[in-house]
Amino acid sequence: MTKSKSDPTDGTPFEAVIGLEAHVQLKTRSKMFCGCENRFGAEPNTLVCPVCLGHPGSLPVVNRQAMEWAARVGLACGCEIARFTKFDRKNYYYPDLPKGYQISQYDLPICNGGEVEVHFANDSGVVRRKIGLVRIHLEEDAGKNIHAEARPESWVDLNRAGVPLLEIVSKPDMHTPEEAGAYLRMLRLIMLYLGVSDCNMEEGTLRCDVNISVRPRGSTHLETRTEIKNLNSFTHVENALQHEITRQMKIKARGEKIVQQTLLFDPEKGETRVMRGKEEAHDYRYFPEPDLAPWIFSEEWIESLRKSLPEMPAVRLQRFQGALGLSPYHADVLVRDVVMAEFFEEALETYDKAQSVANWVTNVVREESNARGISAKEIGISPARLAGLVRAIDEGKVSNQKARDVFKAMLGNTRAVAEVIGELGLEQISDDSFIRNAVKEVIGKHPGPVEDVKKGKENSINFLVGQVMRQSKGKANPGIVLKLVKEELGV
Amino acid sequence: MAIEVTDDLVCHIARLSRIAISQDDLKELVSHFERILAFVGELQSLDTRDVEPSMFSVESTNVDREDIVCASLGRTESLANAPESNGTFFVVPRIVGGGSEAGPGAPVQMEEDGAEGAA
Ligand SMILES: [Zn+2]
Repeated sequence: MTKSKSDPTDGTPFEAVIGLEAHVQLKTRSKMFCGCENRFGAEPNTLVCPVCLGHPGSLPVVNRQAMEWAARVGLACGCEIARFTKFDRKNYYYPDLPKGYQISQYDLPICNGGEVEVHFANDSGVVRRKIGLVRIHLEEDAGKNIHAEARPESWVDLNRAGVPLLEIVSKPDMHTPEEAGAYLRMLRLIMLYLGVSDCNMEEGTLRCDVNISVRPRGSTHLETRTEIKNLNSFTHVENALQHEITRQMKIKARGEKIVQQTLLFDPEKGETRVMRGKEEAHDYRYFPEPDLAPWIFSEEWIESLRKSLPEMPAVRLQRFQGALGLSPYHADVLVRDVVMAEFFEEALETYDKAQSVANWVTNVVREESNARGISAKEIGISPARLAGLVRAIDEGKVSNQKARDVFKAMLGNTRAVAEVIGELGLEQISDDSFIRNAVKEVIGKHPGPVEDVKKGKENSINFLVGQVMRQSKGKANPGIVLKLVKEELGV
Repeated sequence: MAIEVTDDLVCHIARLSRIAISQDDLKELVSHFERILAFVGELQSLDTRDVEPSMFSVESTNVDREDIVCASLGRTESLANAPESNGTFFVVPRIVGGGSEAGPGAPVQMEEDGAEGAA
């Protein structure tokens, strides 16, 4: 729950109204309407065939997996799944669109309605909000244009042409850049939980258009809006919104009108500029795709898809905080990383003190995996062994401090916790009589601080505890040392 | 709801289709458009009050395939029919204005309405 952008309308008489259109590439093995491989980073124009090149006489055939995943996403977002749906042609000419039309969905999308529950932190604590969805539909992606440096030409790579693309259209339900950012992050998380997309913004598997208007606070009227196209990072979305909301407020404050237009965001300059192009180009002349038969989702099919849904992030967050009693912070960190959450839950099977395990997973395990750029599952300690280590700490067999050394020594092997602790000589001493002897010895050696403690100087207790710890070479259980020092001094 | 075919309408469609047309073409196309629309317009005379709208010309639904990768064309073959290529990419007139991802909904924007652009 990172705290992000402030709200540019704060302290102004305005309120921003934000809607988002997200494009999510599905990670099916093959493309939407042909058998070409769906893979990022291949040699240009090697993953193409007559269908995705739009050669005359070739015919598209629907990838069933993509249809199923689209419905799965819809079910996870509480959408109504269309029992009858179809594809339509969206006609426009652009070099990266070989057929001269994009196969998309117009009036009968796969999913209608629905909502996404988001949460984020701001000054008033954790905010939970439901962002409504208008629809989710399936379409094909376009190719990629590359602008030749020194020559008056552009180059086209059609490997991406025909890759299945989900378009998720939100209601204009958001009012701040941070809300929009939280929504997009949650959308990404939902896709990761469902396993239908990697939503990697660098590779363009999650892209986003935003539309923005500004109105007097309290008004319910929808005013003229602008659209910012092709934002490809969470930060860009938030920065672009900040900039555009501020720009619109200034215009309105001067009493001028907003011009409806399409903008591009320049992340380097942090500003938007008008996209060239004629408005008349938005005349797509949709009509039903005659090459593709309509599609029917049976009740049974939808029910079986509904039953196969995994636990979704919002539900998991509730469970982690509720049933497992985790702090909101730890629950949030775990829910945002699918692999780490799984690691955590597996560790609980060995040792069920959830908060203790969560502390370790979200700190030490996370640091290790971040530092090495790999997932929690790959760092070389099984959830069960990690759980064993956390249990050893809770049982006082090793100090929380020294346990980090034990953790390091457990990476990349299968040795038991006790064995590693023993070998490193890091057993924590929790034996009362041993510690009491050491405490007595220290008290005898330091009459000054002892007097201070009796006069009420708290700091001197810490000094005495420190001396005992030193004498035990750090192995004494600090909790027991403190308890016995107080006992011996009668404070 | 008859559509009135004007020069502007035909030019608009030509621009959307990125087809260059001359003044002479325009005259002829206007009359083509009118004849085609009149022909199709005859359908308006049918009484369709009790007829369900159809989306597709045959009865089949759910014509699909498994998500299996098939061989693609080699690059030489994929570029073979292109008017221009450089052996790796299709080469087209320079596109300006950022939006490399036409993505859904990007407007047409070429540097100049040049060669095959509209008049
Ligand atoms: Zn293909």
